[in-house]
Amino acid sequence: MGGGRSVFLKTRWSDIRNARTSNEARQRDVVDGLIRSYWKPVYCYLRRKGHANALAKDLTQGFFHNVVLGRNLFERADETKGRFRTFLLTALNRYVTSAYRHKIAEKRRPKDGVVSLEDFDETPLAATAKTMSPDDAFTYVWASVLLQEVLAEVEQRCSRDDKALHWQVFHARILGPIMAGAEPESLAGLCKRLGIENTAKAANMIVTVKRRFQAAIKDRVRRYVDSDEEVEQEIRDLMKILSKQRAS
Amino acid sequence: MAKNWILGLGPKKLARLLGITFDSGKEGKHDSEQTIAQMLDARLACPLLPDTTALQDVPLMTDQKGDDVERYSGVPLGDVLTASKTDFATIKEIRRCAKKMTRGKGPKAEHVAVTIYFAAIANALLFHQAKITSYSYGSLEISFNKLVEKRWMPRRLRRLFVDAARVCRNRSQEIEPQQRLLPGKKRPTRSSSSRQMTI
Repeated sequence: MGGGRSVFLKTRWSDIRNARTSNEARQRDVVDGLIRSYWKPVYCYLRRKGHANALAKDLTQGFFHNVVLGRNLFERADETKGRFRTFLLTALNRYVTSAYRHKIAEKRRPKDGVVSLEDFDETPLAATAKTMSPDDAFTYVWASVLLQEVLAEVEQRCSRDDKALHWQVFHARILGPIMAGAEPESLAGLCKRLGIENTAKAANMIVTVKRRFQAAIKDRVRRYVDSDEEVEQEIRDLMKILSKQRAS
Repeated sequence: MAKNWILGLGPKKLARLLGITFDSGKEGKHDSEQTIAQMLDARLACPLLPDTTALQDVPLMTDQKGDDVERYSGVPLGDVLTASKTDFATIKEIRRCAKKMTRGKGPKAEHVAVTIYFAAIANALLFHQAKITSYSYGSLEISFNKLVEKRWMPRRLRRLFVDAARVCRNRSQEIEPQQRLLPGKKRPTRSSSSRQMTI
């Protein structure tokens, strides 16, 4: 995977440190969070490595059950030895080799699995990531998960705070055009369509949601780095990696 | 729900979404950029007129009515600015008039005028090997690069500025070692009365 100063995902050390807490409930929350963030990237990485759908799912379940939980992988992680992503992928590759040798992928796996892979539709991700290296696919899927979580959180909070219209304006003017690769609707047109008094008010609504988005994404990225100063640099690094990919 | 939108989105679009993190928060900026792009397009598409009495705000050529300028009458300004065969006198005249246009017409019109001003300078550098401004090569290179980054810049002018920036970089590398060899000689500076063109 490319990247300049520090490749994104270089650490999730603050979370790892929290996973070592003696508070069991807190520990479980942190490990659950880590699994939630990483299972899709792990699965897509395995698919890009050439494993068939069913086997990739088995290996993902097996890895999280046998290695991450079974052998307390996060407790053994050593932040002095480099990036967390490298650590995770090294452990995964070792597990896959061992699984092939001993056919252990399905052994000792709980009936319902550790993660909910059965309902996961890989089609959209697979189509976009098909030209990427396994490492880049991992980063790409991870970024997708990050943005999914951030946008869902912002939308939910807008709805909770009686700002559903704010979200609607933000979506129409910012999100929609980026995702569709289209020109945004003019503010005047937007006001007319959504019954907003004037363009200044609509502009303020967009700024409000934009600030919430910025706070939410910085808050999440802050968990993977060691200092506030590194947050923006990490996001820029991720943007650089994604921008280099051929698929648009 | 956002959840359903993101999976499968292309990496470049994901990068743009992440870019929201660095938006200044000024909404309406896009409208403003679109307006500048439209104003610039309109001006570049306008023919060069030898006399602007009929259209006060449209092109240049306010004073000079010589043969050099007459030759381009009716040719769109954009073509004149980017053509290698445009004669030197016309380019100088465009630069002079564009400088006058920068005053008191509002920030968007100023962007348009400054672009034309630097396009004339770029044309002179590239196709006439002449520097028709007192700006140093280093300072010109910075200005050209700033213009290249403007989202409203049309592609053909962007190409012109990229090439001109390269020429400036080469020239400043040639000149600076020579200046270092002449310790008594002061670097030429702009006169304090001359107006700085802001980009």
